Amino acid sequence: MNMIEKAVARATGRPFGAASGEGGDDPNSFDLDHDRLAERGLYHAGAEDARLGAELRVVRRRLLRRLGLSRRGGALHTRRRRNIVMVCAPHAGAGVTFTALNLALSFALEDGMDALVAEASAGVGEWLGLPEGAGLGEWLAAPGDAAPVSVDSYCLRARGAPLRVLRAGAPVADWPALFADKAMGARLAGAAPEGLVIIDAPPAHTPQAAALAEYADEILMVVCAEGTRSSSLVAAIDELVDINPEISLMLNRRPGGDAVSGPGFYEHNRTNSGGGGSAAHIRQGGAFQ
Amino acid sequence: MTGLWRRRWRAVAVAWAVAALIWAVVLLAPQTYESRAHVYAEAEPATSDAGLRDYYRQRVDAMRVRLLTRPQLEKIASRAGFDAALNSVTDDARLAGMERLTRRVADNLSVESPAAMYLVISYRDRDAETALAGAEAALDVLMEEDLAAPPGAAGGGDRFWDEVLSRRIAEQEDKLARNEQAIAALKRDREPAPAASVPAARVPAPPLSTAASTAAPASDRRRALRRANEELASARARMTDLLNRASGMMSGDAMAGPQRAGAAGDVMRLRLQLAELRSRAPDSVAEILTTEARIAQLEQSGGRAADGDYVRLQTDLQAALDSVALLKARRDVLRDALTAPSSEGAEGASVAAPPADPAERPDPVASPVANLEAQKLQNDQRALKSAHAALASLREQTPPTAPGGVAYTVLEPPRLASSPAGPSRLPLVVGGFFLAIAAGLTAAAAQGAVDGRFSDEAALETAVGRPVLGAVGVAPSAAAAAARRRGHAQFAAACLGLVLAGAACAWFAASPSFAAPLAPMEAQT
Repeated sequence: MNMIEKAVARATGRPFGAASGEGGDDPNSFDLDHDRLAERGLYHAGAEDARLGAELRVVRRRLLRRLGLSRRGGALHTRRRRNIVMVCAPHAGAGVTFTALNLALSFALEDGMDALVAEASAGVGEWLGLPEGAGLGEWLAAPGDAAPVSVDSYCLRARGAPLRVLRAGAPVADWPALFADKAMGARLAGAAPEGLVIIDAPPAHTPQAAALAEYADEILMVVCAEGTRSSSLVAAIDELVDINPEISLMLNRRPGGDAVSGPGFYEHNRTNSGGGGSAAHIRQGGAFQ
Repeated sequence: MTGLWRRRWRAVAVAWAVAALIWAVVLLAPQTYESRAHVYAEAEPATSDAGLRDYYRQRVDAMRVRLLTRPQLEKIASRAGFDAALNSVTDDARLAGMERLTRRVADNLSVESPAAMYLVISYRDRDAETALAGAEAALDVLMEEDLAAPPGAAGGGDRFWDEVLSRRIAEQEDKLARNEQAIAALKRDREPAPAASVPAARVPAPPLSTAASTAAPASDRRRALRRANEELASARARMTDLLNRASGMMSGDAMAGPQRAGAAGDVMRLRLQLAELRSRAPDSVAEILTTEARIAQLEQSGGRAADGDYVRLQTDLQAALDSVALLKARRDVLRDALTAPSSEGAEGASVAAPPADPAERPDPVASPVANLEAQKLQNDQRALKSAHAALASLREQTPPTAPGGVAYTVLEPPRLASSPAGPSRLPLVVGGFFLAIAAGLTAAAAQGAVDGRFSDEAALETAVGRPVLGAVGVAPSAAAAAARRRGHAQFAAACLGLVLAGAACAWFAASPSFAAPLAPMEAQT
């Protein structure tokens, strides 16, 4: 067990890889099909050594830093409770679902962090081949004044990985009215008290995006290389910056081969060459089997 | 290059659009046919007078400009029958129609002068027969109208031409009179010359030579003989050169026309024969007189009397022959004096027979300098007489033969064009292909410069001013690889299609059936 896995186990109070409530016959559980993930270019077991793993590692480190999460002394320290990341884009097709799913998979598989992917726009379930069912719409609409409604009733949990998927569910008629209740922020943050809530949000100019942005701790704007125009990007930022100024960017579909820059890539190489690590651990059928 | 490759579809789309547009325009554009006539405007009919030559050239240029003026264009349109549709309309409509018609004729008609005195008249139209009619009408108007007359000359070009000729003739007559006075003065000085009383059959040797042979020592006589030989050789060389030039001129005449060459050649041959006779023994005087009469007869019948170059050459040749004869006589006298110093008088020395004119004949008493001066005056006189006769003849010939003094020779009459003159479709199709490719590349490069998209994190962060957490490359999935391969194949197919379409258009444009809708036999008629 490496340093990250120990930190995760200490923070969650459970052994690394043993997500709460998991069971082989649980209808709310699903198996991660790593071949399907690899085929679709998503992060999967064994992708740590690949370019995608190195690129996502850089993004994860910087994202955690902006959220105020650190790993001092081998444990995750939270300066304040900030765990809601809204992934959106200026326009459809920029790679929001791809980015949200990749981040959740890499957090869960490589760092062992509890990651909940909330599907505000349909896509994640299709990528993973999950069945339709109740999801975010039902969970947010459920009355929770007396007692908070557990999100687990609406989630699909991956077997062998701390990953949950909250599908879109029934369409919400009026997002601004729904999020007018300030308790929604606490409900969202409480969905993954020990990990991250990653929201796969619709484009920035939609009312859903504006409503969700109010409760997000970080807005990750996905920019499609050679696809997103600067004018539309600036307009998207202008839409959200008054609601939530914590906006950062990520470039998707960057051309130019295998060039990876940043400290994460160096760390990745050093970790792999030092022997051991989560990737080898996963491949050897340890915790996630 | 990476940016261009990323925008390759834009480049291909623009290239296809531009190529299709150009090829459509080129292949659908109507063909034009051209009929042209080559005309030699002989503005220098029979004179070598430099003052007249410039005048002629100015008139040809003026004629060229005046052919493109509105009155002449209207005549051309009427003569070609272009205004047939205007006969049944009102006057106003006819005026407007004629205005359009003259503009069209002016656009289609071109008159070029690729060389002095040569005119190329061409007429272009979408219909080959119309082009032929336009060219024929323009040629007729050019030849029938007095377009060469100066615009300011009242009464046409003939009166102006007469004035110019008269002025030149008067100048020539002044020169002739002055020359004749000089010759008369020379004759007066030579009145007591013994040569006039000496029988024509026997000419005594120059006393100068005799005196030299008796008074001077032998060494001086040898030196004088050597100098005489040198001068004789030099004079013979000049004579040979002139003979060669005369021979060349005769060959040129042979090319110009057998009749002209025959008369000029006869005159030249007779003159050579006359020179040879004069250098022989004096017993051939009868033959000399016969030859001179024959030459006079030929020249009177118009051999080449009016040709200034010929006259000059003839005069120079005559002078050279006379000089050779004189020097030969002197050389013989000196040689006889050296071989037989006792035979004073040296009678029987063989010299050339003297000319009939006393002033032209070398005076045995006078010095060689005086003889040469007399010879020069005679030569000038001959040249002036020839020039004067040529100008007078020109003034008599001008009105009936050439209006305005310009004679036209149609070297190539206009013909029905068998193939279109333009546009040249094959070069345009090929050029359109390369232009389309250049347009596609330019569009792709321009798009990269102005569309404001991002390709790396640094540019993104600089442009937006927000932190960039990282970048993810294109997902290396099998589906993506397959899509990439499919995209490359489609791109190659699009490029190949462009090339094949260009080749098809080029083949179509170059095919004879498309380029020449007129059948060859029909075109000949």
